[in-house]
Amino acid sequence: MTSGPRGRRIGEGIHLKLVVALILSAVLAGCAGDLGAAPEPPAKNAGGGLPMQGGTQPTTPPPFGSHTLQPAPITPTPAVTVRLYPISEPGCCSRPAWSADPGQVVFLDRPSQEAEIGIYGIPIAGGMKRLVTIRVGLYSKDWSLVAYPEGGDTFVERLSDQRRWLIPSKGRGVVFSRDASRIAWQAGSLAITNPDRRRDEIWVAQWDGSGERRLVSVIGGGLIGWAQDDEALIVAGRMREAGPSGIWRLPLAKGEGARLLWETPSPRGALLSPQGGWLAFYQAFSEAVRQNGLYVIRTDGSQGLRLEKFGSYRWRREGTLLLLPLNLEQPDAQLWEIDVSRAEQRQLEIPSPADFRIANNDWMPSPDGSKVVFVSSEDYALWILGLPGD
Amino acid sequence: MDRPRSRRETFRRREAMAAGAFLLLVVLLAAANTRNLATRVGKVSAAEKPFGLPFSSPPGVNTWLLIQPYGNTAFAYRNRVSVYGAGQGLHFGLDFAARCGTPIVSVGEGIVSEVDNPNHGAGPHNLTIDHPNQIASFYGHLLETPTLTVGQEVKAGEVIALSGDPDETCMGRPHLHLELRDAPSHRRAINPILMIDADWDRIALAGSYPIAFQQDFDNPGRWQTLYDQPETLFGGPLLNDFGASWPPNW
Repeated sequence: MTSGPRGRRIGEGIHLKLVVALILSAVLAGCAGDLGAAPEPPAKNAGGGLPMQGGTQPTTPPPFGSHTLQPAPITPTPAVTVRLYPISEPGCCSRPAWSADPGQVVFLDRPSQEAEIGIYGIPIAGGMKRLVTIRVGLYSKDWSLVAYPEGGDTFVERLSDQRRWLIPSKGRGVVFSRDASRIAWQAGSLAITNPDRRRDEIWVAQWDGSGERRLVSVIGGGLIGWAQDDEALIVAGRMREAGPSGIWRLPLAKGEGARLLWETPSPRGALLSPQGGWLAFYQAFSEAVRQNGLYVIRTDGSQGLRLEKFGSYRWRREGTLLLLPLNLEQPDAQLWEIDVSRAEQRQLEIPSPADFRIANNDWMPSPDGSKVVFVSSEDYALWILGLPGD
Repeated sequence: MDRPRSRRETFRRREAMAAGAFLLLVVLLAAANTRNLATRVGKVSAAEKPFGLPFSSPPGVNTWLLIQPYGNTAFAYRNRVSVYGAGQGLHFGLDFAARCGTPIVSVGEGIVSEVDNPNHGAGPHNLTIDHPNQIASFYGHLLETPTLTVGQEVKAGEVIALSGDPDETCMGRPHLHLELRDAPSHRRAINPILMIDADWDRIALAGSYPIAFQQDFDNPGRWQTLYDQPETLFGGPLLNDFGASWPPNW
């Protein structure tokens, strides 16, 4: 642990990239109704400055002109068994996330009234809960920057020297690009309105808030996150009142317009893959019942399919989705792994299914995809699910 | 002019009031016990849950999904004054997303006590059913005025209404808002998850994000599960007016 000039303690080498995802999920769930973005990191150093230009104009043609109405054929492969064990005391905590290494699970906590509120961690190899940092906010992937609200404004702080910058987002939360060189946010009313008619502006800026510009105004949707190369944003909604609704790729480069990746009236549960190359979302309650379901699409527009299963889902790694089917007729929850790029799936067998009861839909794969942490609904402890290799 | 009450009448009135108070106490204690038990083990037995789900079909993308639980949700926190102020800032019911026109069934047998009561909000249409166990079920954001009349008996599982959309477009946020309140006063709301027999942990397993409860920096572990949530006293003070909390309203 180190102690900064303001008394902030920062865990050495701790990278809270999934804290970012955790926090953003709540923020964006609130900002965009059912839409949310987990800006999962990795990163290439995109570097370079932010092109200054006016708003982009949408182009028409979706690469997938017609939707895949039938579930894509997925090849089953033999089931494999996983490992399951608790790492905390019962009633420990909620909303767990991972440190980068994935040796530690972190969460917001205040163990006692005498203790400080902050982000605490538990080593998965065993050990006591300890304070990682008292700065609660949205962290960049490399944990060099943190964004947090204060007095109705949003600040980005550089952790190396604790300098901070006021972000011109009028107090709205921001999403860091994977290389932490840029930020994006959406601006619009926070009041409860018809989400199908709500209009939000999508903004980008350098990480310190300089060079801000409005990219587009979107209706009935919002910001999902950064695409794979950090050179485009993924947004949902309509670009004009009577235009098509769906998932859009919004390039930052001058002269390139928004591109419709997938036309869908109201995408829900949008979740970018760790590298940003894939997006999972679902469509529900459409009268065209065969179009309802879970979809995965490439964020460059080259591929997309509808899966035959629906439930709770997370990305294990780029192109590999974990899914807990929503099927109450099954006595216990099942866990499936779907390789969406190879169109293969396999069931991950749980040795003691009674121990695999998740509270609050609260589970998250580790950054290296080797484990899952979840809050047990049996004892509200943190449990680890050790996943098999490929 | 009222005649003077005899000692016997006074006694009977006091006895009736005491019985009523005792009954309310029993109901509240039962709910509290159920909540405490649920908090300990995360679930309660079917015998302790007298009601059923408000839909006859299982959850799914073509039927219904739980989108907001009862209690200290992040969404309720953001709107604790504007929308949920009358309910102590809490989300005092369950929200189920469903296509407009989805049949809603009664969670238990009972008698219709209110139809389209504007005082309860949850428009454009709503319905209240009082059940024999001194609990009322309330169904909000209905598509049209229910055809039931006050005083009419309904059975458990009987279709009583159609789900609608508070924005009345069926495009914005179509969903059913379900509450359980004490009856007949309807002044307290109880966590329906404690009294509806269903596998709530499994029902919550839909989509890509955890259920978001607001975390109070003074006590971040409080009110963080589907089961451990405070009762709502309508007109009472805000329970979630936290000094600092997460997520922020940004």
